[in-house]
Parts: sequence; structure tokens; C-alpha cells
Amino acid sequence: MEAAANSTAPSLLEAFPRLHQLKRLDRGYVRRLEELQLRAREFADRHLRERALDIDRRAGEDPSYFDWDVVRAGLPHGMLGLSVPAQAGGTGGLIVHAAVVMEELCTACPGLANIFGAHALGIAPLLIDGPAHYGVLGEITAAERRGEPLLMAMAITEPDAGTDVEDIDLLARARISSHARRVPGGYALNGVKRFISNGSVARWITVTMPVDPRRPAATWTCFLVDAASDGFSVARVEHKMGQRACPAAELVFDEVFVSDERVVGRVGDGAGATLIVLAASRPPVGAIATGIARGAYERLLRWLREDPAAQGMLDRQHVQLQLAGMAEEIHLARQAYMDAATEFDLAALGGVLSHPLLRGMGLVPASVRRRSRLRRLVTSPRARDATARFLRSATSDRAITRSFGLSSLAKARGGDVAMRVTHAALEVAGLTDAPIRAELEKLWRDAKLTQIYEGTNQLNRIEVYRALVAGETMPALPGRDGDARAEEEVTA
Amino acid sequence: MTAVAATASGAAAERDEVVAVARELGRRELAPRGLDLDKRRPGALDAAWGQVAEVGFDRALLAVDDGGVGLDPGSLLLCLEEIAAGDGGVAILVLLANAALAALPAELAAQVGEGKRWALVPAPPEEAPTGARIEVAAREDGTVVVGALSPALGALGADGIVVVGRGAEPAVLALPAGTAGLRIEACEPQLGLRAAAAARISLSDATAEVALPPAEAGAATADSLTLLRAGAAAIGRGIARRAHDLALAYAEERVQGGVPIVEHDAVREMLAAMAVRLAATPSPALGAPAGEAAALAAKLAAADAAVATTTDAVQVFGGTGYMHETGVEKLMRDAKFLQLWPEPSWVARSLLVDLRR
Ligand SMILES: Cc1cc2nc3c(=O)[nH]c(=O)nc-3n(C[C@H](O)[C@H](O)[C@H](O)COP(=O)(O)OP(=O)(O)OC[C@H]3O[C@@H](n4cnc5c(N)ncnc54)[C@H](O)[C@@H]3O)c2cc1C
Repeated sequence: MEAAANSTAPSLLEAFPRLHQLKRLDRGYVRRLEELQLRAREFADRHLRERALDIDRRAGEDPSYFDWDVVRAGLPHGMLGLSVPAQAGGTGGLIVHAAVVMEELCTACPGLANIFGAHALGIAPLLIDGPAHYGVLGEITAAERRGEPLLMAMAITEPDAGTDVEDIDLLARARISSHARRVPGGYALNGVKRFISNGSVARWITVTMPVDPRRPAATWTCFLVDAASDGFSVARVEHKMGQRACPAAELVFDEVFVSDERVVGRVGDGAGATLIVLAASRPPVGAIATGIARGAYERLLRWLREDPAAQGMLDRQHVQLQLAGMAEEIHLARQAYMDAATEFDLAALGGVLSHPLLRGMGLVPASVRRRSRLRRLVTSPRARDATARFLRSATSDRAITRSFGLSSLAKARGGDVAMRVTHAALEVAGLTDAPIRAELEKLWRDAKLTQIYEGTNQLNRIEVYRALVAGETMPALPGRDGDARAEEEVTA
Repeated sequence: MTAVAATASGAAAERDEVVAVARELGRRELAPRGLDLDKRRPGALDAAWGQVAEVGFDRALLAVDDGGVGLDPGSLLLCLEEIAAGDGGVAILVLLANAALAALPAELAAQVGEGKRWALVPAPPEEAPTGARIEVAAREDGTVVVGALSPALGALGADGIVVVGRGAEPAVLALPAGTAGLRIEACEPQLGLRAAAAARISLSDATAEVALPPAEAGAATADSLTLLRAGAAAIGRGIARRAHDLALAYAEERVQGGVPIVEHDAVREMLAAMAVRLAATPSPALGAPAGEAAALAAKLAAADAAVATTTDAVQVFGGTGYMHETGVEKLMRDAKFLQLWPEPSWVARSLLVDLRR
């Protein structure tokens, strides 16, 4: 199929009619989002669409195949600095921005899009740790400007704990085999992480591990690991059903040293931080799923209109009803992810974003941040405590939990919609000999993953129950006793 | 393994024995080769087909006197379910080989040698948008065929094809591989049932053996399609059963939340739905195809059951199910492909109403 932009692709205001209202109130916000959508669409049309099938085939034959050229092509479009704060050289996009970009990229190729999605996931934990990691974030954006891709990943899942590490309560009972042991000046990481997107190609990986494996939930901690560290290795790259362009790797940590400066947040705050990260990352997964569904719908419609072999099919009521059903599902999935993303940006994190302290902290100039004494200052336990206190003052566990509920809803519904729409599109096209069949088959394979990763749909729905139905409040924010606990762990 | 020939007859006990042979074939010979067949590793198909031929399933429907096994179609369907529980693609090849032999008159069918693999190629229905059509013309020097057929499941690498035409002018035509004017090329990519490699067939003035006179071709074509759909139904059941068995075993073994995941209601729901779908899918044990409409309905039910069950099976396996090695995602691809063949389900549903009117 040609790379040309599709006439059925909706404009931002067509996709989200409610933004007409917002446009009157905040023209700049909507305009920026419109520009971003077009930029992402252009990148997808120019660089992803044409290469999608070929890269999928190559990675199918050799899972370690990775197309750096496509990643490089994303650099001028700002794909790697999208969620990095402006103070660290990025464009400071929030979850709404990430989600809109993901939908566009996924209409072209969900596998390639997931490279950028997993990168943003890797960055997410750093963002809730104040300016402590602006150094690494600054490296990413500086490299982007030089035309060098520097990717991130996030490693939570372990062989014996998948669902169990995605939920705070389950984590307490999980079989965790990883362990971050206290050593002078930092921690020694040991263990295996499984199915890590970008794991084999990332330069930096945010990794969660317990400091005390007997108390995983209470001591779950996030670390920033340099993939060039001694003791870090990639054990295997998985042979996947779909989204093949983005490698999923098994990572082995054998006494990997991480300095105190590279602990993300406070020791023991990792479980709550994971919850915040998932509240932030699930709306974009809903958008990934929506983009997959839209990609199938647009391709099918175009084929029905243009291919002589499909002549007359659009006159069939069956086909019309199928297309109407697809349009319906895509629209609803899209509104769900937009609701969730907006809730996260403006309700859960709203206070944080407008908080003067954040601006104050963020404005530390890069030249100062590079000076090691000052860097130590922003990464000191005291600075981490200040960030934690600041988060507590600016938002609440309840607000985050509610956002988490909506995010889980958007993710689960999106995944189901992606499956249903690709399934229906394939059925309408049948065994046609046109190239569209291969494209729809690929999108159908890609779609299945959206029901599994970022927590299975089953787990996401259990969380919808807890957060939205039962009205539970989950402990997401760093605890008040964190100062004391962190000290205790650090000196233990 | 017992030779099928020794036991082939209609009697129930003997039928059970034949089915047991098919089950062993599926379990021991095909299931372990599933990934190699899916990846089309060199030698994998030859080895599998060798096993199939050794117990006579390549010519099960052929009369004993003609060198076959003399199995009745109902028994073959039961066996196909078992073979498909090993590998869906190989089951398709067995179905296509037997359907090809069944469509030919006995004297022609008898000439197909032991272990040879022929494939029935149904021309697409009018409604299905495959863009492939054939035209048959009688000339002085024989019957010539022009056109294209694709994707023709199982035709790649076949020793010959039997084309059955649908529509206004039914025809049953035999074309051995190598016939001048007949080109059989790979038709990639293929989502599932990959042991039965699909081909793009082009015919440019290929001279075909007219197997049946036009007067008889109509009935033979309908019978062939009924056999294909009833066979596809049996294969769908086999794939669904395998997915259910793998998912149940994994659910008992995988621990999350401190208990085997079979203890979680979310997983139970999926396992129960699998069992219900299997129970609600007509068994091929109903005997010889109960007619065209029944076969179509059975195929629709079984293909839907297979797609839903294999999709849930991947879900029960979580991330592990998404990876090739477990073989579960293969079942999902096989099931989805089956749903599109010999015609996509929406076309089949429409045909079903026509047959019932
Ligand atoms: C291609 C791919 C990319 C991925 N990328 C990443 C990544 O970048 N980083 C990362 O950390 N992880 C990643 N993951 C891991 C992903 O998040 C997990 O696969 C997912 O959380 C499910 O865990 P699991 O695979 O261990 O399944 P399991 O947890 O073993 O689940 C198996 C089944 O049991 C059910 N189940 C389990 N526990 C419960 C319960 N308590 N109640 C009800 N049902 C339950 C599940 O719903 C599922 O149906 C990736 C996975 C894949 C496949």
C-alpha cells in the first residue's frame, strides 16, 4: 500500500470533538496537539508504513533484527525527546501527547511504534523523581539533536512474576528472584527480567527490584541501569507472534553495580512509583490499540473502494454493518484513552505540573546540573525526600488511584477493540490475493499483544473494579515515613 | 502403529481403532513437529507426510481394491480431528488429498501412487473477493483452462491438483504437476496452517484431463465442497481441543498470586468458555456429512470455536503464549486462517441461508 496519507484519517478535532470547546479556552494547547498529531502522521506515513511488512518479516526470521534506520528517522520528528521535560532539552509532552502520537504511529506499524512507546515507558519513572535524572534525560535529547538514537526500556517482569509485579498487593506475595543488595556507594543488582521491550537495544534501562527479597512490596525500588555496565547481559530475544519490530528480551543482571545517584526515587518507594507509571502508560497503550484498529479499518476501506477485486462489496449490507461497527468501536476506544490521559495529566498530576516548586527545581540550568557536586545535591536523599513531600502536597493517592482506574479501563477496552476490529477486517477481506491480506494479518497478530502487556486485560479489569467500582485508594505516593525508612535501608 | 488397512470398515469398534491410530499420529508424530512445520524447516513436511502415508491416511477414502484404505467419510472426519490436534496444516493436507481422490473417477484415482500428495483446489465462490477466476474451454485438442486460482491451500509442492469449479459451469479437472501451462508458485505470507503451503496457481492454456462430464460435475463439486467444509469443521475442533488441553495444563502449573492460576476466576471463565464451545460444536461423530447445509453450519461453528478458544489459550499463557516456542500462538493463527477457508465466514453464512431457503 502506498505511503500517502489516508483521506479517512481524522483531524484532531474530528477525532475528539470535545476539543472544540477547549480550543476556545486554550488555543495554544489544542494547536500544539494538532501539530503533534500531524508531525506523528507525517513520520508514520513517510517512514513506518512502507517498511512495516518488510521489517516484520525480517524480525520474524531473526528476532534480533533491529532497524536503527527507522529510529534514526524519528529523531528529527522529536520522537525520543517527546516526554522529556523542556529543562532537560525535550518537548515536555504529557500523556495526552504521547497517546495522540501512539495512535498515529500504530496505524502504520504497531511494532515500530512500540519502540518509541517502550522508550517513553523507560523514561516515565525518572519523571516522578524531580530533576535527579535530568543528566541522563539531557543525554538522550542531546544525542537526538546530534542524530544519534539513545533508547530506554523499563524492566519489571520476571520469569516467575508477571501479573504479580504489576499490582501492589500481589507483589507482597510474589515469587521474586531478583535482588538489589546494598554495597558501598550503591547497590549490586542480581536476577532475570523477562519480555523487556527494547531490552536488547536500550542504552539505559529502568529496573525494579527489591532491596530485601523477603519483603518485595515494602522494599521494591527502581534503579537506572546503564546497559554498558559490567554484569549486564541479554540472554535471549524472543520470537514473537507480532509487534516484531520491537524486540522483547530476557535480561540478566549479575552483580550489576548501580550508584546511589542512580537510584530512582527513594529506596522502598518502587511499588507506588510503578503504579503511577502504569497510570501514565496505560492510556498510550489504549491509543496503541486504537491505532491498530484504525489501521485495519482504513486499509480495509481503502481496499474496498479501490481494488477491482473488491468491486461491489461496499454495496453489501454485511460489509457496511461491519465497517459501521468498526467505526463505532474505534471512536469509543479513542474517547476512553483520551479521558484517561486527560485525567492523568490534569487531575492526577495537575497540581504537580502547576506547582511552583517543580518549576523551581526544573529550572536548574544544565551547566549547573553537570557539575558533580550539584548533581549530588539533586540526587541526595534529602532532595528525594523533598520531591516525595512535594508530590504528596500536590496530588493524592485517591487522585492517582482514580486515574489508574480510568487508564486500566482504556487499556483493557482498547485491547479488545483492536482484536475485534482486526478480526472483522480480516474476515471481510477473506483470502484475497491483494497485499492488504498480509497487512491485515500482521495487524491482527500485533493486536493480540495489547491484551497482554502492561498487565493482562484480566488484571486491568480487576484494577478497574478496585479503583472505580469499589472506590479503593491505593498507596501510590511515597510514604510519609519514607525519610526514615530510606535512611535505614541505605545505612543497613 | 497398526495399519489402517487392517481395520477399515464401518463397525464401531473398528472405527475406534482407526481413530486411535490417528490420535497417535497426531500426538507422537505431528505435534512435536508443529514448530518445524510452521517454519517450513527443510524435511519437516516430508517426514510428516511419510508418517501419514505409512498408516494410509493419504488415501483413506480410496477403495481397498484401488489401493486405498476404504475408510468411510464419517470415520475420516473423526480422524481429521485427531490429526489436527497434532497439526492443523497436515490435517488440511490429508483432507485435500482425500477430497482430490474422492472427486476423481475410481480409475483415475487408482493411478495416483502411494505416498503421492494431490490437492483439491476449489474455485472461489462468486462472492469471495479473491480476484481469482478460471475459464474452461473445450477445444479439439482437449480441454484447456485459463485463469488464476489463489491462494490454493496445500497446492504448493503437490504432485497434482484437482480443480473443482463452482458457479454456472461446474467442472472437475485433473492436472498433474508439470502440466504445460500450469504454474504453481508460493503465495506468501501465510498466516496459519502453514504445513499446507498455499500457492498462486496460474493456468495459461493448460490442458487438463476432464475427470467428469459436465453433467456429473455439478454433484461432484457440491460433494467436494461439503467434504471440505465438514473436514474443516473437524479440523477446527481438533485445533480447539488442543488449545484447551494446553491451556488447562498450563493453568494448573503456572503460579501467580500465590496459587496456580486455574484458581483465579478470570482464568476459570476462559477455561469454562473453551469447554462450553467444544461441547456446543457438532462432533464429526455425527457420521458422514449430513448434507451441504449441515456441513457449512458445522464449519462455521467449529471455526468460530477454534478462533475464540485459541485466542483465550494465548491469554491464559500470558506473555509466554505470545512467543513461538509454546506453540499456542500458532494454534491461534491456524484457527484464524481456517475461518477464512474455503470461504470467509460471512460468505459462508450467506450461502447457508441460501441453502436453507
Ligand atoms: C511482547 C511483550 C513485551 C513486553 N514488554 C515488557 C516491558 O517492556 N517491560 C516489562 O516489565 N514487561 C513487559 N512485558 C511483560 C508483560 O507485562 C507481562 O507479560 C504481563 O504482565 C503478564 O504477565 P505474564 O506474562 O507473566 O502472565 P501471567 O501473570 O503468568 O498470567 C497468566 C494468566 O493468568 C492470569 N492471572 C494471573 N494472575 C492473576 C490473578 N491474580 N487474577 C486473575 N488472573 C490472573 C492472567 O490474566 C493470564 O491470563 C511484555 C510482554 C510481552 C509479551
